[in-house]
Amino acid sequence: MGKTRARSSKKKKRLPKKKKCFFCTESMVAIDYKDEGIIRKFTTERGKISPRRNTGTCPKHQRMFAQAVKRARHLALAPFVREYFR
Amino acid sequence: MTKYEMIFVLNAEQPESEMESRVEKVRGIIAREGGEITETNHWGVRTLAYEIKHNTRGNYMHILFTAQGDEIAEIDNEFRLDYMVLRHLVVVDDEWAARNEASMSKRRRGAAAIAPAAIEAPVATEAPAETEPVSEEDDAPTETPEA
Repeated sequence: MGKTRARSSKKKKRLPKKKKCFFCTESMVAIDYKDEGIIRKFTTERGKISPRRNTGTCPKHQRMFAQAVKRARHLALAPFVREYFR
Repeated sequence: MTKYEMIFVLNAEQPESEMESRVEKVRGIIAREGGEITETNHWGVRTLAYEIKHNTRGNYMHILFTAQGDEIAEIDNEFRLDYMVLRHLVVVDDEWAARNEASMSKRRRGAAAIAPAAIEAPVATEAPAETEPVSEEDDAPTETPEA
């Protein structure tokens, strides 16, 4: 994030703080599809996989996480769609 | 031997003896090739995240085992045809695979650093990925000056 976005106007716009990948900070080598807490944390309340732009996950871990969610869904540990929630 | 991880979900109405017979079935298949079950975790009856064949609850079993790899297809087929099994999944143990990969790359880097010009370097990397990379690396430099 060393680069600053070039803008035509001289006005300085504050860029949002760069998020750090949660899995990198925890130095995880594998993402456990059996861990319901982690699946819940990185999916939306509807059960969709949260985008990287929201969570700050690095591409490598996002791919691993996506795989984990798909496994969890297959085993009915996580829903495909959560219809009723508040 | 590769480490595998398996989960299957049994119809919750079935007795526990049915669960045991499924575990024994897996044990029987992998034993033929010298594999064995290293760990079994019975999670018990849990609520499913969605309905499967009008079932809202399932009986979960989590197994860790070693196998050669050819038997996996057979296990898969057995469980696929089993109508009492709602879901099953057999995957390579991720944690184990990642650690393996890490130790392999470390060894590759270590071999390259010790003898960049020597031809022995690729031989060192072909050694089976077991859990003592340190001792192997200690052996390697002593061998090279002798030869």
